[in-house]
Amino acid sequence: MKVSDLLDQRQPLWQELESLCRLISQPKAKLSPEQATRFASLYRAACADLALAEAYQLPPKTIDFLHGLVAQAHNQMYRTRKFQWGMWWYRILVETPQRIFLDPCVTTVTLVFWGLFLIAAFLAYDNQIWPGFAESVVGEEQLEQVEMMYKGFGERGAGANPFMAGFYVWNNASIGLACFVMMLLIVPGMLTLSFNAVVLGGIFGFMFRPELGDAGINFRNFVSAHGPFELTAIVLSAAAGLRIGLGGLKTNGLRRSDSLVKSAREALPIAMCAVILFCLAAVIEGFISPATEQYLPWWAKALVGWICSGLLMFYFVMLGYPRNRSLIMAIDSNSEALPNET
Amino acid sequence: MDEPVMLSESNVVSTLGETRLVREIATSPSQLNSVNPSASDSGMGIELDSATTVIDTILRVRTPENVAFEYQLAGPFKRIFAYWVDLVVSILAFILLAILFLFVMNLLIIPLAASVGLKELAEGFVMLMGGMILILYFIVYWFYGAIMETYYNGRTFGKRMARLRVLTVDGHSIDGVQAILRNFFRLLDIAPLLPMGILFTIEDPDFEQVLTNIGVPSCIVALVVMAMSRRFQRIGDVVAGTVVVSETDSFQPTLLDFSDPRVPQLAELIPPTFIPSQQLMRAIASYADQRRQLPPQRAREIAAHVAVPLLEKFHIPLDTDYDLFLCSLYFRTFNSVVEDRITP
Repeated sequence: MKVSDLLDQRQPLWQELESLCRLISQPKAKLSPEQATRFASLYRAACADLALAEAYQLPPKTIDFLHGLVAQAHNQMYRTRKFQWGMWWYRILVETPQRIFLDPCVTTVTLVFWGLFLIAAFLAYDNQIWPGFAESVVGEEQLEQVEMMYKGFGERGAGANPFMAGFYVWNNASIGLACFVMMLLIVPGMLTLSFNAVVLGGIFGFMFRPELGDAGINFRNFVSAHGPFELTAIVLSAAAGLRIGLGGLKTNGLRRSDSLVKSAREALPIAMCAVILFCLAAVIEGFISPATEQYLPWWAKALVGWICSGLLMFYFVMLGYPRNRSLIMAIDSNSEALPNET
Repeated sequence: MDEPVMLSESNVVSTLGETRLVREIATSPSQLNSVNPSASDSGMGIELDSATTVIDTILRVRTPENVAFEYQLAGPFKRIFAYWVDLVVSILAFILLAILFLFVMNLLIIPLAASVGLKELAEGFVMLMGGMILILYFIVYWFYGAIMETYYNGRTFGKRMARLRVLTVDGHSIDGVQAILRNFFRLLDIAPLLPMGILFTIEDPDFEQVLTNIGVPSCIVALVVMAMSRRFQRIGDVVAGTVVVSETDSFQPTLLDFSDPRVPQLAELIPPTFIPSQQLMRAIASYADQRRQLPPQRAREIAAHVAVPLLEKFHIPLDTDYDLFLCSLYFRTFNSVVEDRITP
């Protein structure tokens, strides 16, 4: 048997495999069952040819070609797994709340954010213990701007609501995701989070001072409906980022890169949960929050805020209360739990 | 068709200065499959890259079919090109969409609605569409790469142009979770953003203000991280456990044909008992592939290293043309019948 004969015999098969590869790689291409079986056997044959290339004494260029061909076919054989939507429902409604409930990162970030927020709000509101706290933290110009903004509040036409909802989705969810990504570098992430908590707290405390009158009431009317979802979403996205960052530091016996990959996979559902919350908050912020007193009185907005808080409680505590023992053990030992895929 | 034969090989891989011998011996297909961790939702096994090894910039992947094939890892500059293509395409698409939208709304729908007395409704509709466009912008900004890479098997539009593909570190196709993660963390990789004002100087003060506010991604973080990584991974790749490889254009190589009638004649003179070693065959084949690009004197000089000892061994006159001799050696190795060289 000559090498040239061997090549003559094999080349049509390789060409056929190549053309099948090209066919599959086109979007929405679908092979017939016969073509699919043919593809599989051609692929195995090409693999065998590559394995035996040295023994067949094929020329180097042909071996290079075979490497490329097998790689191409391998990519089509073992394709990307699409999003498994069924799995995602399980993740969002069962696994994620329990993970969030037990995750020390979420607890830490919640304590840091809300602690600083409340302290700053109290100091800014009180203005006795630390006179001029709000002015020095937020900046006098900024405070005046916020005050002016809410003084003449309620003049926006209702027609702009959908546009503003879109804007809030884009703006707030982007900030949340940036927060998630920044948290990978733990120190700058924590600093940014603390800074934002203090500034937000300062503004809240300042706006609730009694001497502000109308502006304060308008501010309260605006923030109370969408506040619960939005602030929770910020905390969640930061916590998800912190989980990845810690995964890179505390490896639990895995290699550093593996630990990073594993914690990233665990944290992603939490971040996506935050994105969903941001979108819900944006809808409320676009449509309900800006409505003026005559259309939607304050108690209605407060009710929306209460309902949102109740839903969050339901999600994090009712759904999140750890009842699935194997999952808890898995989270505790930081090894991945696999629910039975049925 | 031939049965696939188990391939055993040993590679010397150097990691962090220590050299270890990785022996890849597959005993049975089932065992091989268990060695290959699938990058499913269950996460990565500890033997994360036992299916792949990296030597220089070559990623060697061992398949479940028991063969190892090689990929070329993609370097930063090819990837930056792909990124810019994606960026420009998405920005242009958005500008076009926005212009078209404003045009249609302001010139067609609003006057039309106003003429039938539905101006309020039409304006509300315009705002709704504007909100939709912003949401669409959000989705494209954060999820363009993730969606493209999931549905087009590890490729975005730019990667398709640059012939790149994203794979997991163990050589499989990536899944949706990995695609989302590696695209989220691009935000860190493209840092620091340079204000566009540095790049262009424009006298108009209003326009200058706009320019300073637009950040141009410099991708310096990605460049530094990739330079430190053995697999050219940026931060997003490290977090998601992926690599980017470059796919070569495949073309069917053919054996060389020699029109010179002296080639087969000279091949007859080579004793039938002579079997060239693997190394020698490789040398002859790469010489024959490249001899046309060499000037004759240089070709003669290179050919002499192999030709002279062999001519002496075969008792062929030493004044034979060395180039011609190597051609006939090539012809005899690949084109003529030699008994028992390949056992069927």
